[in-house]
Amino acid sequence: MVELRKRLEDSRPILADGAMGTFLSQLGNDISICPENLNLSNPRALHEVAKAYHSAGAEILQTNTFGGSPIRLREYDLDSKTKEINRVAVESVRNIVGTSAYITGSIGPCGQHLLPFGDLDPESFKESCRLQMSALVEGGVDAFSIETVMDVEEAVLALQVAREAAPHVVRIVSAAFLKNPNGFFTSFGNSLRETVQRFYDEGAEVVGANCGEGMTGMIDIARELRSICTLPLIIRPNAGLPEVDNRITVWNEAPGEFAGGVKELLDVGIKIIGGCCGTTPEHIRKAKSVIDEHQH
Amino acid sequence: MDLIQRLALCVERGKVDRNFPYPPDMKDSDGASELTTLLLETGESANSILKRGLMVGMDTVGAKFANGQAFIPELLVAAKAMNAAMVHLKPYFESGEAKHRGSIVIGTIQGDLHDIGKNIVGMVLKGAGWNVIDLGSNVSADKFITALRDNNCKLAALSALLTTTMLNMESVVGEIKGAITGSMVFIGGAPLSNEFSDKIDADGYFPDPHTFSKYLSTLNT
Repeated sequence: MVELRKRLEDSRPILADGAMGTFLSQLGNDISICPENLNLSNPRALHEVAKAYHSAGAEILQTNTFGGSPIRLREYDLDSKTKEINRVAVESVRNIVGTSAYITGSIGPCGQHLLPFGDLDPESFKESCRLQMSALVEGGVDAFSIETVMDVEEAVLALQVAREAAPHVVRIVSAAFLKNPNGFFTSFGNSLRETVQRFYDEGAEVVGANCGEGMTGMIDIARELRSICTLPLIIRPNAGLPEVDNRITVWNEAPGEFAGGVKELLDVGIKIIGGCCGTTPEHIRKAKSVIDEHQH
Repeated sequence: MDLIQRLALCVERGKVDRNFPYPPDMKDSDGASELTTLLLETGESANSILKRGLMVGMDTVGAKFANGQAFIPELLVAAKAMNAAMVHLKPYFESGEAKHRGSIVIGTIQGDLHDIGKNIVGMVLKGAGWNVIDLGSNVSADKFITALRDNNCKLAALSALLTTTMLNMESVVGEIKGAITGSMVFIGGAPLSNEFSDKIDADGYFPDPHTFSKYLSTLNT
């Protein structure tokens, strides 16, 4: 398998995996308190997820480390285990896929707000990032996936740390945009254009969107991104919006509907397509057939 | 612009005190903290400062947030400015000279440690003149019931961020309403909806803190 940077240069799209948290939950794991703790308590669950998405055709698999920063793990008194939690997350996936798939290390928002809006100083945040990223690198990630970005400043600092600490690791950044009457914005009020520009300036190699919207909203976001940005793009929609049915949370965008949207994303020229909350290996398998058909 | 209007503006814009670096266009001017002290020195009552200054500022930024013209950072700094002012007003509320609009107990549901949304709701309600009893995150039905009893309060607001923990709401709502006659329990959080609120027999779902605050102001408490 060629290096991920090379793979990004060729013309073929890349299929990524679907949801981690909601799929772990569907498999019967309790993720209501610190989903990352599972990496230590039950790494078999990670094997199961990796196997399911890999056999569905995903070429990129993400780690169970969304909340794996020491700042976030501290809420559960697990910050002393940052290294282990992140390293094991990568190794568990690698054990399953070997070098037949790329592994991206998930890095979600740290859960606190930077100064002056919150009380978190930028240096403490960077240190937290550094610890998580170095553990992911030790585990052997191909890329960092700085995802569900709500505050662009936080992602900018994360990109700076990534460039300094591990320049060989590919930098993928995707924000969670929500639609309001003036367009798409993050919950911190960063417009889509401003967000992409800042990511580009800070050395992001792939930019895009995940979570926030279902497929319909994501197609609009994808078109807007394509019109303003020359970098490879990533789009990972939710399977619609969550609803509760008989005490179970369900996402009503079926794999078939999801796959219909995938075709439009390919027409727009999206490089990496995967799923976020509520998507399953079945969504990814259906997306794979659409991608294969599109290539012929 | 008189002092109290300037205070309202400082809260709306998030100018905490003279040294606070935000917003950049208000650099080196007095903030909510200094203006509150000045107002008290000139004989303005704590009640009037709360109602004509802090509540006006929070209401303006809250309305902008509900309309998509302001975002989370603007709410966070507005709340910081309001809290800086409240430090000076606290003794007047403790002595009974100034009065809150009423009390409300808030917390994130059992099993859920996310508290950003709940904190923002708490800040906006404080800014609207409520005495907010914040129980933090991962709060059980028993804790809610005890706090409601201890504070002789009938209003509770529950938050959930996770689609897994929102399912704990039904039993907590039921237990609170069973234990405290006449209590009202409201819910909020990203995955929730009006339909969900109806389904679990809560007294209402609110998509943003401003709408919630407006609704509470219509209640006779």
